This record gives sequence, C-alpha cells and structure tokens, in this order.
Amino acid sequence: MRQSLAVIIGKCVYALTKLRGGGSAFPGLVALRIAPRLLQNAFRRVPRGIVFVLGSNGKSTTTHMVSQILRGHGLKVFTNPTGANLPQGVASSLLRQVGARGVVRADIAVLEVDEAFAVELAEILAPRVVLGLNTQVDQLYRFIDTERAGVMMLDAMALASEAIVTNRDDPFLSTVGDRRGAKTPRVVAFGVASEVVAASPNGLLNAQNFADRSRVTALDVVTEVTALTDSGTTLRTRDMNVALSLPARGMHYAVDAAAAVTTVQQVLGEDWSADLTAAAFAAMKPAYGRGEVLPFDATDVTFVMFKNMASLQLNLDALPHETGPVMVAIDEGTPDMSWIYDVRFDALRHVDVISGDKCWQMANCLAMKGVTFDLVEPSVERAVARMRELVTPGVRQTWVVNYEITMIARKLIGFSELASGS
Amino acid sequence: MTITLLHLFPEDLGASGDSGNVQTVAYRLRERGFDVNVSTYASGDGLGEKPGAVFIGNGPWAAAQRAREALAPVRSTLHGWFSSGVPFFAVGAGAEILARTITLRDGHEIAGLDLFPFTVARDRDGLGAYADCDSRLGRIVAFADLSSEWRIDDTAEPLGHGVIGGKRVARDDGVILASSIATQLGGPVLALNPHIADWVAERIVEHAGGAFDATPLPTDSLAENARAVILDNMDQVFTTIAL
Repeated sequence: MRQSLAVIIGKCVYALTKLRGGGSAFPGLVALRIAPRLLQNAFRRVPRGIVFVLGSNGKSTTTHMVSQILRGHGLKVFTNPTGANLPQGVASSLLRQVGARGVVRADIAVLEVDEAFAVELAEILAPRVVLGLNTQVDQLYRFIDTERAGVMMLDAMALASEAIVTNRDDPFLSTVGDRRGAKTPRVVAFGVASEVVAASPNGLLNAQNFADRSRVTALDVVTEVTALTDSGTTLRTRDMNVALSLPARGMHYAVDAAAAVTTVQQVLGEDWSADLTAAAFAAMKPAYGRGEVLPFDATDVTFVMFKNMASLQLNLDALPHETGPVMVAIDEGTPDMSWIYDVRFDALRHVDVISGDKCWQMANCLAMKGVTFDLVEPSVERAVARMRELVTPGVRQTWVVNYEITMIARKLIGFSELASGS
Repeated sequence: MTITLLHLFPEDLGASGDSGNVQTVAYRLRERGFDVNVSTYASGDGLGEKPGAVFIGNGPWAAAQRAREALAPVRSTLHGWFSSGVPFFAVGAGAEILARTITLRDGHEIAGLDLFPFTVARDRDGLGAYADCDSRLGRIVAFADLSSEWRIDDTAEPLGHGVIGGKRVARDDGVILASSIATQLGGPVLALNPHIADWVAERIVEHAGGAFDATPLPTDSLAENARAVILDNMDQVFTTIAL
C-alpha cells in the first residue's frame, strides 16, 4: 500500500519536474520518504538478482555494456541512467520504469552505484554480483583521500552474495579477497596485458595504495585485454580470443569491456556466448557523453566527457590525430580542478574555445603548458555559437567537457533528452 | 642563470595540484629570462646538489608518512638548506611532515622533520572549500583542504588570515618563515595567485644572487578572472563524506 502510494506520488512529482524541464533525484527522494523500503520491495522479485557496478571512472559505460550484453542474450534488464547512482537516483529511475505496484518487472537489474552509498545500497539490495572497476583519484573535495573511496568500494564488494568481479591491476580493488567476511563469494578478475599498458602514453592511472603497497593477492584472472585497435579490442577469455568493437576510443573502454564480459559470465555461467557478446558490442552506442558523436550543423561533434584527472588523461590519450576544431569547457560541477596541472595535453596543442565558469582556471593552466587558444568565453551558449561559426562540412569537432556542460551543450545543439542508461 | 626547483615526491604527494605550483614558479622564472630545471626526489633517490627551491605537496597521510620516513635520513641536509635561506614551499600533508610534531586521529604523536614552527593535529574529518585570505603578500584566493588543525608557535607568523567556504569560517592559514611558506591552500594556490608565486620566485632569485623583475605577465589576467569566479562562488558548499 505504502509502496503504491510512494510510486504514484513519486510519478506525479516526476511528471512535474519533467514539465519544468528538469531531471533530478527529487522524485526519488520524495518516494523514499513515503516508503523507506521502496527499493527493497521493488527489487525483491527480480529473478536473476542484482548486479552492482562500482568504480571511480567508467561506471556508466560499463553498466551500459553489461546491460546491453545481457539484452543480447535475451534478458530483460532494469538499469539506472548515467549518474543516477545515489539511493534517491536509483529510486527516481525506478519511478520512470515501474507500474503502480512499484515492482521491477525485469529478469535482472544492473545498477551503477556511487562509492559513498555502495555499502548502504548493498545492505538494502543484496546484490548477487558486484563489479569493482577501479580506484582512481576522484573528487577529493568530497572524499579527501582516495583510500577512503577505495575502502568504501572494497567493503561493498565484499557484500556480494555470489561473485565479486575485480580489477587485477588496481592496487586497492585487487585486495578484495582479504575483505570477505561471513559471505564467501567467489572472486574473479579482469586485467590488461602488460604490453598493452606499456603502449599507452600514460598507463592505466589507477591510484596507488600507499597504506598497503606491498600486498599481492592471488587472483583468478579470467579475462585479459590482449590487444587494442583503432575501433576495438581483443579479449582473452575462456581460452578464446574475442574481438569486440568498442563504442568509443581508448584503452579505458577496453578495460570496461573486459570487466563487463567477466561480469556477464558470472551472471550467465555456461550460457554466456562470445558471439552474442560481440554482436551486442557491434550494435552498442556510447553511453551519454562518453565518446558520443552527435550531428552539429553540417558536421558532427565528438563529446569527450571527463570527471577527473584519470578520465581526462585517458580520453586525451585516445584522441584521434585529427581533432578538428576543439572546445574545452568546465564549470562548478568540478569544484576542485587543481589536478588539471597533472594532465599531459600533448594531444591538444591548440584549443579554439575554452568555456564554462571555470574557463579562466583552464586557460591559465593551458597557457602555462604552452597550449594555444583563440577564445575564452564563460558562456557555454556563446561558446557553442562560436563553434558553430567554425563548422566546416565533414570536419568533425571535438568537445572536451565535464558532465554538467555535456548536458548544457547537448541541449544547445538540439539533444534535450535526459541521460539514459539504455 | 640556471635555477633548479626540487620537487619532493611529486607522484605521491600531489593531491592539491602541487605540480601546478612548481609549473607556475618555473613558468614565471622562465618568462623573466631564467633557465629552470625541475628535478624530482622519490624514496631511494639521492637529494643531490643544493637546489634553488624545494617544493612538497599534499596527499594521503599514508603517502606523507612514507615520505617522512624516506626524508628522515637526509633531515640534516634539508635543515642546512632551510636555514641557509633556500625557499621551501610546502602544502598540506607534505608540509605537515616538515612540522614539529603530528598527532594522529588515534592520539599517537609522531615527530616531524622540524623545519617549520608548528604542530599538527590530524583529528578531524576533511573539509573541502573555497578560501579567501588576506596576507601581507596580498589577497589569496584558493581551494582549501582542511584535514587537520595546524597550531603555529606564538612567535611565528601565519601566512594569512581569512575565511573558508560558504560558512565563512574564520581562521589563519599556514606559516611564513623567512623565504619559506607552509600552507593548507590548494587550487593550486600559486597558479591562482601569481603575486604569491612571484614572491616565491623573487626569494629564489634573491637567494641565488640575482635580480628579479616582478612586472606582471600577460597571463595574470587569466588568474585574476579565475579568482573572481571563485569569490563569486564562495557560498558553494561541498559535501564531504564524513569518516
């Protein structure tokens, strides 16, 4: 009863916020206030259980990959849209996808979960499989110390009922085997072959584990990235070489693919198919803003979204040689951008427009690093207008932007739909 | 004139964009016609020749603790440089290991390298916020990571006095001693505040026996605009995850 009331009121609030042009976690917050057990009740009858995706970077992309591979195997998948990864965000996505009874009707749920709320959500939802992608330096204004984020993820991973999927190359998450308490889920790992890492200009960029640097935990590595191509990757898994096309460029997307494949194998067991997986990747579009290519007047634009040093560096390392006109934009959605000085901008020797509230900090940094630029324009609207003037038919532009400006800029070029996980 | 900037533990202690402080000073020295080498020091390396300046940055306490252990055998060399007037610019946890003592959350007290006249209590949840300080070197606008409480000696001079974040918590920041600065301000603070970077650069050149022309650089307007945006957004409150 309370569940239905929460869902109906939540849906009304959702409709109102949508009318106002917003998309937010507020409807979920309202629904959770009315029915504190909203999530438990909603997910209780999902037959194949729940998969959590944790990590500093790559959660949305990997959640999308896991969901699409599972769909490719014929399953009905519930997932949360990119960024809606706090309890209220999960609740909001629930309101959009369930009927009045507030029960998820899917075969399986794949949820990306914020590090800080991972333990809380794991205790509520009892995930069957938890995937830990990476611990990278992220949002220090929030976590203060990367170790705290790492420990939060390790604690949540240890709550998996059946399997933990971890990253062999991550100094924090690779120690998860030692964290298991009363529950003893199996632990399997994915990794990147050392020659692939060596060929990358700046490596994997996982955070160092200063407290526990010498720890080596024996891991069962079941999937390894063995090669990268311009448009894809080859994984070694189950004694097979599996060639996959990737939705966007970069070694980090190959790592996400290895993590996703390993996770799906844990869910499906012997029913996992390499062919269906390859077909799912072939049809896969990038997750919102993550290497997404959208039409822009007589050309198109690649959105390269970044959140922190590691995601910006890995994306810059993966840029094609010809970037076309470039916009770099960052705003208050990234409160502390001091890490920008650690980024190597070799891939961008010239930027056409720098925009967003924090454009001056960005310009100051780029000037010192010897990157030239033509215009610094705080207004994203005016910056996009300038990029429009720079359109040459057939010459793709590159917009390197943080999450908040991705939303603004997409809207400005006519893509107003909210982020979607599917 | 060639000036060497020695950056201690750049990989491990760099959470406040600390390489940006080094890059800023190097940039400003080069723009004034000096040749600059940036050398780095990590565990197991030799300290090398006496540098023109020493930089150390912020980072996780576990990394700072390792740095403290690695520097202990070369403490007397560092002391010699410090007392001979080599400018040190130290931020956050890297500065804390150069203090007298550090009291950890569990009450355990450990000895610092005792270059700067303050003690540290690492007994609080972290707080990330914008900061606005007055100092005798000029106004400083930056980003603060307050994971600890610094208590400077009665006779020592704080770097600045200012307010932190949307709640406008009033507090002193850091310490300035002769040609050296220890601070809890990030951002990185020298990139955002070229006048402070020039004060450091001038001390470096002075110590090397040269003359420094502190005429502003064309890029200074970028930093000025960046500071104005931070001041406009001082009220922004960052949600920090409690321990």
